[in-house]
Amino acid sequence: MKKMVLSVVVLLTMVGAYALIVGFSPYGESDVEGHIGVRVVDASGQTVIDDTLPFHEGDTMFEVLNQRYELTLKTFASVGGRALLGIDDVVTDFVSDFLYITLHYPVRENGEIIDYDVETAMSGIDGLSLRDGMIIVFTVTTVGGGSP
Amino acid sequence: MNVKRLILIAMCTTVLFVQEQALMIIPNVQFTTLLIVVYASLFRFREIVAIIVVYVLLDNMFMSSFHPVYTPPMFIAWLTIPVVYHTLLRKTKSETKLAFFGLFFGFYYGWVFIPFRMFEMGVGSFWNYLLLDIPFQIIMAVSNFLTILWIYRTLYDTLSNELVSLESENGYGVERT
Repeated sequence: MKKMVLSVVVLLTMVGAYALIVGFSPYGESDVEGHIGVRVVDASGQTVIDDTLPFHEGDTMFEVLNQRYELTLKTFASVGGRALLGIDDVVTDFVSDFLYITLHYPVRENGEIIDYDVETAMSGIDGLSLRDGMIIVFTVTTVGGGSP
Repeated sequence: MNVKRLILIAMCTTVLFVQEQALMIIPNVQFTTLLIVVYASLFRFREIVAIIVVYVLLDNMFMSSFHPVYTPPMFIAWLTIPVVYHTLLRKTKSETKLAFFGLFFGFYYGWVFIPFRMFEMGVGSFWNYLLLDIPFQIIMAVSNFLTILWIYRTLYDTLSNELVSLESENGYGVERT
């Protein structure tokens, strides 16, 4: 009986902790409004998409992209995650090539953008947060070809 | 160390490795923590260290994951179990105490990798990595807690009985409580 009670208590605590952490995570819905730049570079190095998209409070990166483009996704049932394989006509197979994501965050001086800090995305599309003025660049990269 | 004991340790290492591969389809759900805790309760410190070293080397060879970012934290994390068992836990056989240790270990295992991943991903990725890893840490923590709480005692009693009967002729023994 003691074991059963302990098991239930720990299980509920952990589920609650998970819900709380996900709720506080900055990698979900945006709490501000703004614009992001979206660029897609195909395998030949040509920029085939170069748009500026608005986002609103409560939007996620995935929602903003999904509203404008046709996204090709691969779901990983075992880990509950998904990977972005393609945007409109630019589609990768996630085996021989993939979309390399870089995030360009604006560096402002007196409100003006003077430069961008460039970072490689450390997570998939659901782990990226929206920031006003940022540019997200998707580059088709062949496996073994290194960073573009 | 006699041959029988050596074979027993080798078999325990095999069980440890095979169960993890068999459960690979469910992320972070495994009996590895439970088995290492049971082995730490049964075997001498140097023996459990040998089991862990062989297990980590085998796992990395099989998964092709020998890398400064993965292999050292695995050694550190798994070796923490026998070290803590023989020090802070004072060789306890209480499944409740060990289950709570397993719960903590689920998180600790993930945290040990963070400094090593910082070398690869940069310091800026700390919070991102920490937050994205938490669901997997929670799965491992719950898995550890439940398996130790419900299975540890049975497994320990069965294996220690086998060990006692196996070693009695040779003058070896295990600590019994």
